[in-house]
Amino acid sequence: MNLALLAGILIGLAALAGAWRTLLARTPNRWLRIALQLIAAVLLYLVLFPPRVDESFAAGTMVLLTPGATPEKLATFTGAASVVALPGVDAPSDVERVPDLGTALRRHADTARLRVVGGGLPSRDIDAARALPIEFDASPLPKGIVELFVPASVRAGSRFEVSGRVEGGSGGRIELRDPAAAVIVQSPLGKDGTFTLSAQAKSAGTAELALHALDRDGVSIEDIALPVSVRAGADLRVLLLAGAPDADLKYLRRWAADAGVELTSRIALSDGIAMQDGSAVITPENLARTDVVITDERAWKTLDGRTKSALIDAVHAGLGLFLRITGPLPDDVAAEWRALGFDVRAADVAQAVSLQQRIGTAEPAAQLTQRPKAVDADHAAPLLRASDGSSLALWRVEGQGRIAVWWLADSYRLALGGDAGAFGTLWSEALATVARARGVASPELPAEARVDERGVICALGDSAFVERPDAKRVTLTIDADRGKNRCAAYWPAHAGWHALVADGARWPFYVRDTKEASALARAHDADATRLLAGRQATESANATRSIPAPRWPFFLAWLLAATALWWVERTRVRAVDTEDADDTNNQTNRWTAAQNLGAG
Amino acid sequence: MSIDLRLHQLGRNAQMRRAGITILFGAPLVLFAIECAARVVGWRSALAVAAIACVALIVFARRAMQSIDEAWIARRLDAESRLEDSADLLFRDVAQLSPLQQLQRGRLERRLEADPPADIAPEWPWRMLGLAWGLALVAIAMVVLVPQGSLHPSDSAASVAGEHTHATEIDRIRLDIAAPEYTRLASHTVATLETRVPEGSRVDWRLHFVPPPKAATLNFHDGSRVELKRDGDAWIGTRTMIASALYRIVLDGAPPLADDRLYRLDAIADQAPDVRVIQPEKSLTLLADGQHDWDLVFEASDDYAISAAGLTITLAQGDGENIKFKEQTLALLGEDIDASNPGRHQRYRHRLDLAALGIAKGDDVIVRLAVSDNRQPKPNTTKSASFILRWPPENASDSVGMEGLVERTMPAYFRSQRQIIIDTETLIADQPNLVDDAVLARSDGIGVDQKILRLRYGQFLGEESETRSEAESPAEKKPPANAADAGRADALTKREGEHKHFLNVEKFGDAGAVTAEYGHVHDVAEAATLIDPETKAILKSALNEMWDAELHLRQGRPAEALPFENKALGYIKQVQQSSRIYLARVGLELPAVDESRRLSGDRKGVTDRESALAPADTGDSGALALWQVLDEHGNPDMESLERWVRARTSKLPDSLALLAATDRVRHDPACEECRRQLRTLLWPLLPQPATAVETRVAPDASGRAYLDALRDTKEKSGSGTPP
Repeated sequence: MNLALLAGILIGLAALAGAWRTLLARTPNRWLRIALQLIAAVLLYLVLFPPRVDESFAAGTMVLLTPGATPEKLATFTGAASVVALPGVDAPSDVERVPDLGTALRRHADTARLRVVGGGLPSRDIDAARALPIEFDASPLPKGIVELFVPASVRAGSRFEVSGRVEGGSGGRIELRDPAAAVIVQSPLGKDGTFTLSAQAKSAGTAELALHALDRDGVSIEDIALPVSVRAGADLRVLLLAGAPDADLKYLRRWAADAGVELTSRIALSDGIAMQDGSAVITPENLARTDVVITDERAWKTLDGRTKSALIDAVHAGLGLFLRITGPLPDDVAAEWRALGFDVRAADVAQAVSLQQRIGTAEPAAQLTQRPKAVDADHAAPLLRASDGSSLALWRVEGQGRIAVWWLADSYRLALGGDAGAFGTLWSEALATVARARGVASPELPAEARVDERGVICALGDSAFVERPDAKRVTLTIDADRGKNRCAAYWPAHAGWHALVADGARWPFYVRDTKEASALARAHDADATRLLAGRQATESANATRSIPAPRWPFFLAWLLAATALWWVERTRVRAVDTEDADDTNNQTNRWTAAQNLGAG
Repeated sequence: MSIDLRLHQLGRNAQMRRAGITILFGAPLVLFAIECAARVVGWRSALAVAAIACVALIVFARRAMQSIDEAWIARRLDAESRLEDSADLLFRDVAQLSPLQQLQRGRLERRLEADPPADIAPEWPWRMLGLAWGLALVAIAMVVLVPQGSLHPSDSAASVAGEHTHATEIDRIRLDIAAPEYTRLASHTVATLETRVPEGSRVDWRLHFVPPPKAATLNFHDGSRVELKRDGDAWIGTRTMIASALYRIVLDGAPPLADDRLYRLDAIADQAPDVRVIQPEKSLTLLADGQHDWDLVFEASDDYAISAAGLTITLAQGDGENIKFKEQTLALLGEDIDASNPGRHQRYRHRLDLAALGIAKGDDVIVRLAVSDNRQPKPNTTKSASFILRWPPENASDSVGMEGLVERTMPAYFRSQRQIIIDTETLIADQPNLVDDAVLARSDGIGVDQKILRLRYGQFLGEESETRSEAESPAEKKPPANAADAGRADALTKREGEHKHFLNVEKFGDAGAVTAEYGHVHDVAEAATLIDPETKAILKSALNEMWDAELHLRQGRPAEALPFENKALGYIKQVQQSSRIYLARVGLELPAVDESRRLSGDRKGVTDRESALAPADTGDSGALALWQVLDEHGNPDMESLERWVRARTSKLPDSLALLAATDRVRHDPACEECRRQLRTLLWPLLPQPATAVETRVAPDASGRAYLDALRDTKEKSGSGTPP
């Protein structure tokens, strides 16, 4: 129950009680007094809670000084009425300070346009600024790491890329260091300060790597923590059928055994003779247990029609089918694969391909070869691209499952050249794309969480909680009103690795300290402000707004009503006195008059 | 009793009552104030607050009493209607009253005498007093029950100290460190439990515990113990630190220490001495004509002191396979380079009297300096490289009748490219202090070395005639001053005599020269074909750089030659590295072919093979498991890790730090920083796993429906449009 309703009920009850007593008293001017009492009651309520009215006003531009504004820029703003400074701005002393943009807009209600000067709006103020057209007068970014792209989480043992940009780092270099402060990889910075580093993840868990940006003289520009959350893999069930052993299969089987992939295989050696891992027979039951079937054109040719139809049915039910091209396709196989959506033809194409940029391998001589094939497919997406952008493998959707065609000939060279991580990353990504979908969706974690900044976690289970770095638990309150997203806000107070624990699974996320990676935060603010500033100004310079009506007319009216009531009471009392009414009655009436006055 | 006296008594009663009420109301307030002060600040200030509050209470009570005067009593008496509002007359002087007033007063007195006035003291406000005391008690209880920390948050240190009142404190720490006598380091004292001491130091602990324990021991990580003895109120113990160690102070009969962790004592190892040879500059020196002695200069330095230096002189006499050795060792006395640190930096000079040694033509004198430091019990000894002084033998003349000119071959005591660079750098550094001629002479000497090296590498390419061929072919990148180079060839020492003949290009056409030129095999085919074309190309580039370097050296411009020398070195390193990729061949041993079944189509006994692929053993799973448990705030199994670390003490880079971190986590599982530190130390021990694979996220109901609809549409359109 709010205050206005409570006050209204109290005033109403008092007025009704007064009116009832007046009605019983059988005195002159009864109805006039009752009316005056009710009017006074209504007016009293209006004095306390005046009605809201729309007001039209001339709107102006407010200049908002944000952190990061240069001193030279700040010096040009004097304490004009329309200039305000956010906290953290070293503005001239006569400039008005505001705690946030919302407060500034309340104080300067006539604001129609916003001119943001400096580093940009903090994320706190972004929502408040959405309603206004914005002009952004940006300061140059501070020196340091201003862009950083890191995968939110990486699989154990896989290669991952860290890219970004160092402001003022032209000619310098950047180092990626492990938690024990040893350099994992380093690279010179580009002319514009951009960099791309590739590293291999270790086992599942969270680790704080570090990025050290150095300028051309080797002086440190900025050191920031690079949190990496490594996930353990799933146990993939693979059925491998091959027409002949080859080097790719050798390394593929080795990787599968090491990575915990449950592999059953049948590699034909001769007519009726094969090398077996487990029992690799195609039956509907076996296929239902399998996530992906890898086969090649030679093994495909040996399958009978019933087996093939069982395979296709299993694909429709969600199985992944991975077709390797290891040589010329027989016509009937080509026709059957065309029916699966892939038109494979022999073609005279350059066979040398490079994967260097795709998988970030450190091996500079990662020169591989592709089969001389041209594959046309409808509704297919590239599964693997060479550095020049040409496809080396395609996949398409077939029912609930997926089918892929792969014509890279010698991925084993990566492993042979010593980069087993690149080989494993290549194949695990390819198989993960094609294999049966069994994974559990991860909650949406805050991407760049910071201490004292609101973060939002979405897609939460019922019993989700956050485990802080000191192992204390924070239960989350899911906002059920916001529809199906099941989001909860989390306001971190500690820096370090937090973990969202939901349904028995841990989803770690990192919270940066407020002071850490300040250039990155500044660049983020500037980008967010620029996004706002990009919108068209839709609102006119004149605007209306809803404001409380002034109180004094109601007070004056109430005073008049109360005075009139007093006058009526006074004349009545005098009349009663002259009529020599008995004493008790008189006192009662006096009390009633006082009561009425109070109620009015 | 007179009326006056009675009235006075009434007033007195009222005053006392008023004071009592005031005190009863004030007392709970005072108690509350004292309690607050005691909780927030301390008992000492609570006493002060109590005193002030009591004084204030007394003052208030007094003022309350004083407020009861005659007028007040009169007013109270007037409440009785029989006194007819005239009670104040009772307090006036009778003489000053008017007759009417006197009359009224008389009436009142009579009435009062007949019936004494009722008590006029204020009523005890029992209900209000009860309420006040009740509120006060509740407030006091709240203050008592409120947690201590929330009352003074800034003073957290005090509360932490309060938690540890049950732990023993080390009041005074004193570690006397007596380094071994030979180090000549003064013994010193530190007031910490962790320090670095020279290897072999004796450490004396002197600790004061509060409260004093019954017994105290230092437990070292290797299992040894030092029992501390009581000396007055101090506990003393001694140990000689041979190696770095971790130790813990274990107390008996007293609570454990507040900071009950492992302390680390690092032993600084005594380094072996460092020997530099100043003279001779080259590893092989040829005896000059008329040379009777050989000057040797060595410098040695050590972290503490050098105790002895011995010069081993070996005389190798003889020829061919008949070589005799004569070895003797001389103890050398050094002179201090740095007088402030006697014994640490020493210079040794020795003049070898060749005649006394008995050197003859064709003999070698080989010297080597061995320097020992003063470490005890076993000194560290460093030996320098060997240096050879050779009295070159006569040219052999036993090859008469062979084709061409046969020279005695020299062993390959040529200078390396790195040495040439070092020499050049030295020369550049010395250049300002030298006259031009001296610079030219030294530069030229280095140039000769460069030439020898170039020819040496040229042999690998089979291009002994390189000099001439390069002079003739302008296509080859070749310094223009090569003619000068050829002219200077006379300056070459006898060592390169074997090459002289093809430097005499001007003599082309001369019959003898032609014989000399073609008289022996220049191109060693074996050497030329051993190297693959790529390596050859690199080697060729190296030779070109050497050419350029030599050119500038010969012209006395060492600074300009240096870049070429460095480039040549780079190429040579490339060649060396590229030659390392060749692996020994291992034969493929196939089973013998069964000729009786060959090509017969008989497949009997040929069956499927079951492959047995086992996952790779990544090892070190102990570290990984612990690392992951620490990540998830679990309870780690520290014992297994400690066993694992102890088993690998020699292999791990810093096993002591790992043991200490493990111990800290075990003793304080809640310590976030300790866990983080242990994880950092474990990181380098983690194995590199194979890339894991994940399945994509399963689509929800709408996603599945979409995929089904997509398939239906495709089938329909597929049937509508035949391919």
